Amino acid sequence: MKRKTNRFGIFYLSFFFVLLYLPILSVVLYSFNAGSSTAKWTGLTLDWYRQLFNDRVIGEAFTISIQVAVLTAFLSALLGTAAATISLTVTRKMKKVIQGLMLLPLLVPEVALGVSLLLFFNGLKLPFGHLTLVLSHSLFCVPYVYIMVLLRLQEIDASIIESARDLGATKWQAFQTIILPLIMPAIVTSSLLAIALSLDDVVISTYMSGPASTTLPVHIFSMMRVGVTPKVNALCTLILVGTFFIIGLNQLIGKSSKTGGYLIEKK
Amino acid sequence: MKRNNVIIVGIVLIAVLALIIFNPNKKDSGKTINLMTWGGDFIPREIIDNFTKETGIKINYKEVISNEDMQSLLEANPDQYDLAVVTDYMVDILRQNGLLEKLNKTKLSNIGNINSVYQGNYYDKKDEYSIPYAISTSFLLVNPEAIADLGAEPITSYKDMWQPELKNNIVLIDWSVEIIGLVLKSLGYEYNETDPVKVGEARERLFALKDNIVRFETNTPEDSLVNGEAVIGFMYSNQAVKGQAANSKLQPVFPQEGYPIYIDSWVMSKEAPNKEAAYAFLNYIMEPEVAAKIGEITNFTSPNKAAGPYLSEEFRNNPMLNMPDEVAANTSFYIGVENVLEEYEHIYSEFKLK
Repeated sequence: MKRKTNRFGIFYLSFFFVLLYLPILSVVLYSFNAGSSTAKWTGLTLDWYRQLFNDRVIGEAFTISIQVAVLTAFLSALLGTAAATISLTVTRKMKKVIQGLMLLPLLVPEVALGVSLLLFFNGLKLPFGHLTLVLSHSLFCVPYVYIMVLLRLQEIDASIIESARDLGATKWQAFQTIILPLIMPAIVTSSLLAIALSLDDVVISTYMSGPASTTLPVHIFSMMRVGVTPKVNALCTLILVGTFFIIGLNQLIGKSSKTGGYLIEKK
Repeated sequence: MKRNNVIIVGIVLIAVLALIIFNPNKKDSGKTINLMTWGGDFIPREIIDNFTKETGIKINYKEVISNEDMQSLLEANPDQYDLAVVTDYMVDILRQNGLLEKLNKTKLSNIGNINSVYQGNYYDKKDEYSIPYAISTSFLLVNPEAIADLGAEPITSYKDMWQPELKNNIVLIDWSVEIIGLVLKSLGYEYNETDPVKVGEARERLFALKDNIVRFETNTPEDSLVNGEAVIGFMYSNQAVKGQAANSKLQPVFPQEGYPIYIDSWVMSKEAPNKEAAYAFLNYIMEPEVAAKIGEITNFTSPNKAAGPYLSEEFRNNPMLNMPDEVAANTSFYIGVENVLEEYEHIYSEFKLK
């Protein structure tokens, strides 16, 4: 009986993954197609990759996207970790309020967020560009960092911190030497997530970028009017490879975090 | 030690952040134009680079996804952008909202090159606010051989799409206003009809087409004809161009009843920070050689009639790329979409669920 369900489970899982990854695989395949139409396979070529690397505009948009993503990840890691640490020290009621306010940006529709940020930054007379992009992306990335770091913080045994304080560590020393290393994996993981979210954003970026700072996803979507070339397939393939690399990295970090947790419980 | 490293890395990152943030392009000294429109090569970089080389004026090209995005950005920051290219109906909206500069024709010596067929339209009757840039349309791309093989009559009008022999052989772009517009035209009515009797008639007629449709596809409808899934496709001109390039048997049919036209036009913001340079650029792109090059790169019909001699023979003789005036005469705009959208969307979703 148990065997049967197991077999069905395997069948279901493989079906699920095939459905999930086959379309993505076709993008990879067609990035090597000689013809410009996705309707016919006309031969193997690396032409689209060559064109991609010679495309100045894609290069510039990519650079801007990466800069914004990294800065966003850093800023949201900083703000999210601070918020999570603070929310542990406040009253339960206050913690609920912080939590609610943290999750709000995720519930507001992106277009509404984009337009209100546009009006807000406009009122502040901030120059649109990297600054506004990083600030607005952080707005929807901070909640993820907050949630992941808070979950990790709640796992930490309070007695460790207490003993550190007993032995004469200042609050900052206790945070720096005990809490920070323990939550580091969560911070890194959520930062990687923030990078992915920032690289992915189209709607808010459209409103937040200045006259000279188009990001990569906006560039790709804005090509629709003229028509998208297989160059974009090549680009997607490269992004895919990059994503797998980041996910792999993340898995490695996740593994080491587990052993870290184990050691503490053992003690 | 390790923790100190973390802090050092943090400080370095903050420094980088500050450096990047406080280094915006604040050099708005009369040598930069900010323009926004669709991206890719909608305004070819080659043209922009040549202009910068000739005049020393730098151009910032902000890429956006839709007319509505441009409207929001222009309304929020009218003094940040000099120029935009928007579609006909958006010229109307921006003009009525008072966002557009009345163009000073004395600064545009090349304005006479623009084909009058594309001027004097409803959105700008006196041509005071806009200059046509790229003309496109949608029509039928057909595979005449395959249609004959199915035993159907040759296609010359929308009406021919209802032949029962064409079952499961038509691909359509997926937008309610376009498809109901097509049906209205086949009945001899105009686009965006509001008369409930005529709309009801169109609804019945639309439902009768359902069996013949094999696919709704907005991004690559031409692929269905190339791979033989369909024999007729209603699509945008640049898609039809691609389809024919992949399979030379495919032919355009401009239906007798008429077809839509989209005129993407230059407009200048009323509060443009650098009007002089913007005029220089507008005048530059209306030069015949430049206009011809733009047409060939973007695959849109050029509204510049002086560009004709500079077009390659292949481009000039292709009615999909270089729409002849008599073909352009049978086009009409989608006017007042906001009045019919809700009703049409309702009918359309009912139709798709059938």
